[in-house]
Amino acid sequence: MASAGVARHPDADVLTAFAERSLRGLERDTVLEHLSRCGECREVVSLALPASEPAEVAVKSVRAAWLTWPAMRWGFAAAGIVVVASLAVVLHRRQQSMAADKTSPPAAVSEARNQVVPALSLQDTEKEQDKSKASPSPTGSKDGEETSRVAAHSAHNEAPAALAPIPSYASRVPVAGSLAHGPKMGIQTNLSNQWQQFSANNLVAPVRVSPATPSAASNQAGSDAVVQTQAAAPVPTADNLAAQSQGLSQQVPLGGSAESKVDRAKPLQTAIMDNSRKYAVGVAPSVSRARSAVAGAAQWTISATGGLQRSLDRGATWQDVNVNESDAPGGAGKQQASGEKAPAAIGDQKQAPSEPVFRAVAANGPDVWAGGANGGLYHSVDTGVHWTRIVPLSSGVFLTGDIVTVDFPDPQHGRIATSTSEIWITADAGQSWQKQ
Amino acid sequence: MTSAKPTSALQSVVNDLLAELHAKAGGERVGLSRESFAVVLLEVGSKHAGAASHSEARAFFLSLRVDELALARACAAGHNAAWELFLTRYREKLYLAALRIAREDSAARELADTLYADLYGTSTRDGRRVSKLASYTGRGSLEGWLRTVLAQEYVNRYRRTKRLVSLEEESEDGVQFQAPDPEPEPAAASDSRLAQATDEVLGLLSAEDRTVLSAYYLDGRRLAEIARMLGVHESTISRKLDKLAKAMRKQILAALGRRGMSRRQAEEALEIDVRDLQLDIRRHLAQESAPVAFSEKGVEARVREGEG
Repeated sequence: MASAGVARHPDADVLTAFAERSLRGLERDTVLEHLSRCGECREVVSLALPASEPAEVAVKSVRAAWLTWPAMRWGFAAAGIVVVASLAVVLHRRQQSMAADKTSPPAAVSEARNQVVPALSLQDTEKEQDKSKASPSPTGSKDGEETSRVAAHSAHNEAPAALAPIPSYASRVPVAGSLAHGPKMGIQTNLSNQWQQFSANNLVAPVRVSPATPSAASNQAGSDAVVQTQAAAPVPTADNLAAQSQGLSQQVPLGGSAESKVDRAKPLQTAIMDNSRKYAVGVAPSVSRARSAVAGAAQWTISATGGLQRSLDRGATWQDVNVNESDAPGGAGKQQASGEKAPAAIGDQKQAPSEPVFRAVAANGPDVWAGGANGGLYHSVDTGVHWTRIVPLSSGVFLTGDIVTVDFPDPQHGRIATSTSEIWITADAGQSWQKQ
Repeated sequence: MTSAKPTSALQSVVNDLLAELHAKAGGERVGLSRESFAVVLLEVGSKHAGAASHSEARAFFLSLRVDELALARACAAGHNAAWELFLTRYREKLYLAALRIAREDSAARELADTLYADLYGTSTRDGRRVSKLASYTGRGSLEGWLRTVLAQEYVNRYRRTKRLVSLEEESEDGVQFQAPDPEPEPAAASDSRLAQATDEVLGLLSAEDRTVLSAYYLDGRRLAEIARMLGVHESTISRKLDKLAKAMRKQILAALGRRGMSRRQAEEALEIDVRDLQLDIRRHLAQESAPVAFSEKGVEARVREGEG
């Protein structure tokens, strides 16, 4: 069949058919055999190729070169390395987040101490206090209730935008701050256990700034005279308030003489409203990262007139903070570390304390200490939403001098210096003091 | 061109397929009757499928480019209509192909004009005009056939010209006084075994492998050119050459071992470097005809550059 033998050059027809891949089998092999031995025919075949084929073949060969295993194996290797690196990064970040979550409970606990209770905006509370000055004592539950209600409403409206709604679970978180102050409560890392314990202990009325019945303080069971908080969980929204009130089976009444009793039946929201101008309704038990962020961003200063001021927008604007305490020297006292019951200083207060004149302020995130004239020392664990009057007591001696410096490098350790060169030191967040 | 007597099988197949093929070819349009076309088919069949079976012959005829075959044969027969159609379709293509081959306009026009004369049939034989188109059998495309014919003409013309000119040039350049170029030293006694081993290995290669090796090492063609010649991708040729070089080295080492060399001696003889192998390949690739003269210089240059 083959017409082109090894000895004879294939004719143009055969060479053309070969070049166009029209030859098959033995005939093609015969031509190949000839081409392997004949340079001229190889030249002819090469010259006879159409001009359009080189680009197509080159493109195909380039394309094929990319798709060949030697080229693709490196692509597969690179892809594998990228995948492994991505997994490593993801796992590392996950571990970091898990580690952060593990450490967050303490932070969350501290955050719980510093819950901003919009229902108890100090600013609005101050305004309402001005209105209700005719009734200095919040004994009238009705007045106190109204004041608290208005304060709560105002505070709610004035809740910083940065305070995001607190998750529902946080509503059951008791105030770690209060627990920290309470002798029977310690800072817990497990928030749910903390709440249960808090509920079981029935923390009583918070610190009152207005004169309350002596029995109010006496009802406090082993609680710090200066620190009483309630596991309230107000949130910037009414819904959260309602939800939290449902979650709290035991609340501390916050207003008037009746406030001395623990009204376990009252919803939290009502309890808040019952508070008579009391800022110390307690730190919201909610754990809000937004709030902690706000708390951490708060700045403090003392005005020229000795007023305490706070900025939540990095100094762009400043708000006057009214600690509204009414402690009298010799009255209130902080329980010593020994566990000695503090005098019912709170209950002895019969008059609304005058606005203190501050000289120094120190803040560690939401934990704020402010000191001023006549031994006035106030502590807030929630960026100044709630304040507790602290009356350091050491060996039967109260701090009465003008506080000129307040130094708290951390929430636990503090140093206070007075104008009379007294140095007072605490190592347990103000639960006990030692005078040097 | 002599053609064998058509076999009965071919006759039968042509009779069966004539109508179909004639219609497909458009014979009437180019002035080729069915009977004339049948003669053409039998001629082509006798030349290329003389010993084919009925089925093979049938497949062969059906694979032909019968439309171009009819046109070419009608042109060869002098039908003006066919010739006009041929010029319309292929005049420009012929010139472009000549330009690509000759790479120079005047040479391309001369080449194309020469071919046109041959295609038209300016020469006569036995009183009959002889047209080159009469040799077209339709196995490949007519356009490809025209390019092949052009290439053959060009190669023949260049060889004739080179042979005539080179002698004069060498005389003027004083070639007769030139010292002979230093050839690689002839193989020593041990190298004869290397030559034998190389021949043995080369002889075992397939025709396609030897064609690739010849085109690469002898002609100095690039991988892309070889790929186009064989209708494969350039990467295929690249991989084939790599495989061939490695395989040949192993086989030559084994062949040297069979010829009494130790492994170390064989490697020394082969000098391990695969590139040295090409010198042996060039020397041992049996060639019936040397590569075209005009491409030899290019081959030497590429070899010196260390290709392969």
